[in-house]
Amino acid sequence: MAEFNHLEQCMGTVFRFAGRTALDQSDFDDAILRACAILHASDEIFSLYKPDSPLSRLARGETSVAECPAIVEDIWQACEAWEQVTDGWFKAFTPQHTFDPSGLVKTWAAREAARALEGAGITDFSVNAGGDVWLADGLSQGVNWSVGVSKPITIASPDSGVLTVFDLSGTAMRAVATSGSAERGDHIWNPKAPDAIQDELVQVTVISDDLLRADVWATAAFAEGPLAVERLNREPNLEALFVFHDGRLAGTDGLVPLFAKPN
Amino acid sequence: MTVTGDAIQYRYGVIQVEVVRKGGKITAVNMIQSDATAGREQAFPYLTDYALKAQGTNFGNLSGATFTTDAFKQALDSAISKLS
Repeated sequence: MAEFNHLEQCMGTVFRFAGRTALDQSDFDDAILRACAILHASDEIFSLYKPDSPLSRLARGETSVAECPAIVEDIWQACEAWEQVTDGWFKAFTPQHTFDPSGLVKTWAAREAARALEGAGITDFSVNAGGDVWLADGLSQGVNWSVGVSKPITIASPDSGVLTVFDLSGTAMRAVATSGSAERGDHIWNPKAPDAIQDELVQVTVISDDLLRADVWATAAFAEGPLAVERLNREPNLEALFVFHDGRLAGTDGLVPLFAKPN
Repeated sequence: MTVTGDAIQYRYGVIQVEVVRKGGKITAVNMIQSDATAGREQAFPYLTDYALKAQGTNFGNLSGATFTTDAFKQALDSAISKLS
């Protein structure tokens, strides 16, 4: 088994695939190339930073969903479904009514890329999609199953570091996603009151059985604020850690057993 | 006689009380709806203990708010500079 640690820049962030493989170098390189091609293809379609992307053209009213690649319709429907599930707290439309599913696309593409790796016979690995983490079922036991959570301070700051660590081994949990204002400022808007500023929380981390689900709920809970704790308590296989501005913490009912035991 | 007040929406949730009156005196005020615990009051000190104890453990991945490649490069540079 050879260890690998592949970093891929895409969507303005960094994706990391790390694990062990029995594939020979050229088969492995092929598999990684194909997985990363999924990320880049998604970026080409969904980027609102690229003026000629199908989504930018859609935003300017130059095209329709029907004329876009089929995946745009899929993502559109997924966004609508998540908006319902989260009672409107996850919304892929900006206050200016532009369809902007970028948050969901990142983790959706990461999940597809992970499936591509598994399809190629790579099963012992984790994916880190710019801070949202997914662990494959076949991941080797040990420290790999522990996932740290950043302090709610930009990683570029000398004060940055680890707030805490969760250990997902022996649980149904496979994903850890964090939403907050530390890296990109206030990029999460309140879909129910676009002018309101959610000023109580600095960060929400969601631990769940699925990467997309964790990501969507982290975004929704951060937008809703502290009251989301009760909503998340009703979700199976999902726990969350809330960080307040003053550093205090709140969490869902089943969170405590997930904290890593000191070694 | 029992009177139920309106459900009042406030900063940290909804609160609703009922008042029980017997012989011209209020004998009880019952909270029939309150999710105040989900508000600011819900910050649980014990979570801080667990979080701090877990802090020293090793981990394979770090989750955080989506970082930009610029922030990532800066962080990488800073980490590398600490190595030398």
